[in-house]
Amino acid sequence: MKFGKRLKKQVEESLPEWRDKFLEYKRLKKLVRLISSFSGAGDGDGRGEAAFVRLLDGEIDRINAFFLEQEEEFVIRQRELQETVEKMAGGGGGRRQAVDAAEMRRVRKEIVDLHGEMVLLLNYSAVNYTGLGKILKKYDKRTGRLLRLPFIDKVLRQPFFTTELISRLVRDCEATMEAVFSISSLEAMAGDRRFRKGCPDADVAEMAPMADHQGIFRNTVAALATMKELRSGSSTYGLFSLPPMSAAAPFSPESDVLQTCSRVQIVDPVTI
Amino acid sequence: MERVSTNQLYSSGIPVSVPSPLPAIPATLDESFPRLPDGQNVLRDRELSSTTLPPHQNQSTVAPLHGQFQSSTGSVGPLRSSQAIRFSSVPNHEQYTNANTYNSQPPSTGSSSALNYGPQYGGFEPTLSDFPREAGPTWCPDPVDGLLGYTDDVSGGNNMTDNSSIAATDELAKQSEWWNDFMNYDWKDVVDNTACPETQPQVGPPAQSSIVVHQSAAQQSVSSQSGEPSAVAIPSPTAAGNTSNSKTRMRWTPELHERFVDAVNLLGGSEKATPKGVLKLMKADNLTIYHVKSHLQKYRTARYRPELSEGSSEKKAASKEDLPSIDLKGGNLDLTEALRLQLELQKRLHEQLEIQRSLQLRIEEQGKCLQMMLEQQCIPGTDKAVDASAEGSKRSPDLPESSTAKDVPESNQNGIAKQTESGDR
Repeated sequence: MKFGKRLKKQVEESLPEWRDKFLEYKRLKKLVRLISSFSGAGDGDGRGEAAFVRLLDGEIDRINAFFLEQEEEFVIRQRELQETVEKMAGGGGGRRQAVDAAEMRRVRKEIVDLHGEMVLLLNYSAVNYTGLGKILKKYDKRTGRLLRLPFIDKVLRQPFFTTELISRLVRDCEATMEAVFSISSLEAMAGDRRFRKGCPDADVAEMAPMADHQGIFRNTVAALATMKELRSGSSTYGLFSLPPMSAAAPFSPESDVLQTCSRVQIVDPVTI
Repeated sequence: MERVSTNQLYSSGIPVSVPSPLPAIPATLDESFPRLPDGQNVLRDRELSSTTLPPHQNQSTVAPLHGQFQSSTGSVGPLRSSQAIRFSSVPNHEQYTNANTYNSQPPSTGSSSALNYGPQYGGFEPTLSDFPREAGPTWCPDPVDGLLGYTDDVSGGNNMTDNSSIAATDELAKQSEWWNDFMNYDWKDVVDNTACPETQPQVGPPAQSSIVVHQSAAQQSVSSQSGEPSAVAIPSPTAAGNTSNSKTRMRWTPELHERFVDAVNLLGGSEKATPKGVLKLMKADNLTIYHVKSHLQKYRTARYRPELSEGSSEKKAASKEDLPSIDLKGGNLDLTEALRLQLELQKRLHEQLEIQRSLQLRIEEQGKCLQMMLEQQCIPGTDKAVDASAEGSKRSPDLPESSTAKDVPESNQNGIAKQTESGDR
């Protein structure tokens, strides 16, 4: 149940539109329990397994659909942002002053947000994969069958797990970010300073994307925390378990960042 | 053919919604199965009550149709539904025989369940809709009972006594679903598209090829960075099992998108361009008008919002500030700093995800290698031993034959685990 609870927490912290797109872990677990109690150790002619596989396939289909849809959107947005940045940077030295400060800030925010969402999609993929692996492991354990290995093989080849494209987009995004953050907009910096004094003036229209912005940040923090917990050590450590996260990274700088975040108070947007 | 589970299902109150037009089926049932009144009537009642469903609900009704044939035809029996499907849609007739022949072959996975493991392997169905989410905890026992009860009936069924009947029926149900979508689809968009005849043959064969597992080719093309559209192979079964037959999943790569944008610009911009025109210009295989249409819609939305805020930011005074998303206690964070912090966090998460992913891939790979090695050595009961030690070392010793072989995998496990860890240092 530990994973189930963590998954639930993760889902709660995720962006609203994503919340019902995750793996239905609890439901699958119920089915496993049902199957193991219904048919005992032996599954007769495999009816329970057939139902389970069908359910899993349905889940995979759902996850794939959402993933591909998001991927498509990211491809579009990435290209648009890149175009925008090129337009802004392409003006040359003389025209740099003409870059609107607010525009610059907006673009920067958008890029960071896009980056964040893409990484969250990667996290979505990872979480679902983990869930599938776990439920398959449970199934094998309960029924004594060998569903996991071949099924995981199938999962590995699914679009939602073949995330190379998104990773590439993330890196492209980071490259674009270099460009946009290097465009020094004096007005933008002045605006920042003004802002530091706590200028509360905010346009209502900008608040809507703000909420999303916060969601991304919060979700990223939650994702990192969840990952750390999940990897902190398995009670059923086996051949297919991941090592603890700290072992994977020689140092864990994310803990520093996370500590910083724990001190950070997330301001809830003013409700419109 | 009465089954208790059927009554359970019917009384459970599960909102199995049935899609509207299935004109062929009731008539078919009448002529084919006059002898079985109860379930037949129920089936027809359900179909009659479904006529109130608006056609645009097609998306949500596809799986329920599946669900109907699966979970509600308890005592009606699968053979009835399958034969009904066969009669109602001629193309499915051939596909049925194909399904049957395929299913009688044992799947290559080596799993002892010869049932429908093979075709199901490559086929995806949103059968989760069988268990409607809104029902909450009430869904749990009944539909599954119904499902299992259904499959009970299958094996006790009349004409098709072999196990392949269940799988065949699943395939049929999928195909009937697909066929139903096909009938229901809003054709008015398609009518003025010359791409229409192209889509039909595209949708037709996929339902048939859904039986065959063809993932590798398309999956590999997905990861390639070519400009060619990579239609994921899953769409073939997805066409049968997913919401609508038009939503074969297209994987839009940046290259493909670039071609799309070029075509759009040639046609005068996102507002002026039509899906038909774009499709023609792009000249991409596997791309359908539906893909282009939905993509164009997304594209327009993506362009519209930035333009909106661009215009507004120009008009408004510079005093309009953007709030940062994070606010340090006791002081407002500089926007750039806030963004940088957020970015840092995101990068960290990305890095960890990448590491985790490569680890997972490696672990699975090693697991497979180990399995193969042990199988080759023909150690009796070893596969079970591998998984037993892999899945849970705390497992009860109910595999006596593997007790001796356990030592082998365990030492290997330690070896591999050590390997994994050392590989990361």
